[in-house]
Amino acid sequence: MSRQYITGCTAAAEAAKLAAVEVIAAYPITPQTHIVQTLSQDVYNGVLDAVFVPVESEHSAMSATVGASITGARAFTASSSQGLALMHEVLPYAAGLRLPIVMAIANRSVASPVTIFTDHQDSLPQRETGFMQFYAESCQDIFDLILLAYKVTENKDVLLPAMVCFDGFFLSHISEPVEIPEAEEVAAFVPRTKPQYPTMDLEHPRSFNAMAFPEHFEEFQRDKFVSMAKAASVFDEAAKEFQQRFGRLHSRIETFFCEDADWILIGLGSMMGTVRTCVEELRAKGEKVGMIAIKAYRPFPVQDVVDALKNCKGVGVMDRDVGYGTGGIVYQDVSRSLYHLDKKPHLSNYILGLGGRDVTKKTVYKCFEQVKTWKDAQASDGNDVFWPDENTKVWDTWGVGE
Amino acid sequence: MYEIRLHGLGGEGVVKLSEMIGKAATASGRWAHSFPFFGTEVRGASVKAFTRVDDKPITIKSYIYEPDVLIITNELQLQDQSILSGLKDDSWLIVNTAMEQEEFAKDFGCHVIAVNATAIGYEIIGKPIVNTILLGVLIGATNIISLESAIEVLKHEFNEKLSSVNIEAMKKGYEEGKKVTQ
Repeated sequence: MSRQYITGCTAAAEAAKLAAVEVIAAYPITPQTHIVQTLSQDVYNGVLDAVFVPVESEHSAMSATVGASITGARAFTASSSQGLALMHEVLPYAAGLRLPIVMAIANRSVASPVTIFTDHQDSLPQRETGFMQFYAESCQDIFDLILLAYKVTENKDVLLPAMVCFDGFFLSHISEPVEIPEAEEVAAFVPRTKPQYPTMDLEHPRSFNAMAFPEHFEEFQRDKFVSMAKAASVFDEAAKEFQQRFGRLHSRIETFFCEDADWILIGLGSMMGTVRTCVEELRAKGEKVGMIAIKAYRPFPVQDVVDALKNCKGVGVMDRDVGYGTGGIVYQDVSRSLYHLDKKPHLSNYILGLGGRDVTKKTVYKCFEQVKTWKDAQASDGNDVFWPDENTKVWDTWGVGE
Repeated sequence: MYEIRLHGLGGEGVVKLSEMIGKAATASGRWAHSFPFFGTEVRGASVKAFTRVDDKPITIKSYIYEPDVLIITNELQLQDQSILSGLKDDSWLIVNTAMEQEEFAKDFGCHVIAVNATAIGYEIIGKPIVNTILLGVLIGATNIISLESAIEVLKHEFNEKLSSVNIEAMKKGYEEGKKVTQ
């Protein structure tokens, strides 16, 4: 184990390398490029015994990754933004074929307007493709979650692909100390054994990706639904083993000062690190606030979220994304989780940090202030969505009025 | 927690300097992170970078608005006074300038160190390298990290020839930083 001062992209590449991936098919895109650039160099230099397939598009990247995975190879790819959007068509194939692919996503918003900067508008819309989704808060998380993702995807009760998502630039380009274990320690955690699932085998030929008629199709979807649910406990088991081996505990939601909190902010990604800092500062002033970072977004940790939120007075859901015509995407999952409770906390939604806008401490304090005063009764017109950091100078760019 | 913001021009090693501070802090067992202001990378364009150093893991992931130290690798940057935003009474402003300390240290409302890093770079390295010298100034003035850990980082970052001249230049910067604070 050594502590290295590296960027998020390097941490992702290092995790893939130590997981001994056998095939990497990728197409470069900012802010993900450094991951596959590093891996292609490692393959060229003979540090990593893998096949690197440079493809002509992200659609081909995922297609080649699917092909490699069907043969039983441990496959890896990475993408962002428009690249992930172009992959979309192939993603449900990867899930439907039950392929244990792990893909790193350096989150970047999608055009238009064109942007290279972060929000979750690329990965969150892929949430119903059958991929598991994990979100990192630090470079250490990126490294750890990629290893955990392989452990979970390859479990025969799961066999669903996974995305490990982390904010472009705020995590992909930040340098931080990251604990990197030895290759043998990683190999012991995610051993490369003969796959326990059906693969392409010339001795026992099979047909993959056959057509399913209405009397069967639905059951294939139900199977995925059940496996996704099972992934929750498989993750928890894997996390326990991870802690024993590497000393760090990961959970599907990370709570911070929630036990006696009256007001809680919940959300995904690097901004939750800033919320954590604000919670510490507010606690020092005696304010009963807390926060939850969702690490596993798919499967969504419904019960954990309920347990952490049921006793507080107010919850603010922070969305670094926007669901046009409804509210934030994470808001939909959190409100669905709390709906069946008899006594519910007040719930409001904050859309912020889009297209790389910095989620500052000031913005977080503003959210907490709003959470404290917000009452659900105010939302009789369904207007429970706030933009706490909107720039009123350039507001109403298209003259659509209020 | 110590918060450092750096301004300069692309190609002057601003981002590298932010990273070397973080690496030296990590090497000495402290916690740090560093990152550039996110944008497109162009040689000669204005560049910003950020470093935080603390005794415990750093969770915040946001730019630095009220720096404890502001390092300016090129005095031309001062034409835009907005780069001084957020300086506090006890902040350190470290500027690479040909002006003398007394002449330069006017009403910035904080501690100021004027150092002719470009001249030191020409003298010791034979090139207008400034970032390793300013690293020395920072250490001499603030002791945020130890000189020894910075020397280790430079040895690791560059080949033997480059690291030895850069370490010499950094030590010169260190003396400049010490001089002002004594």
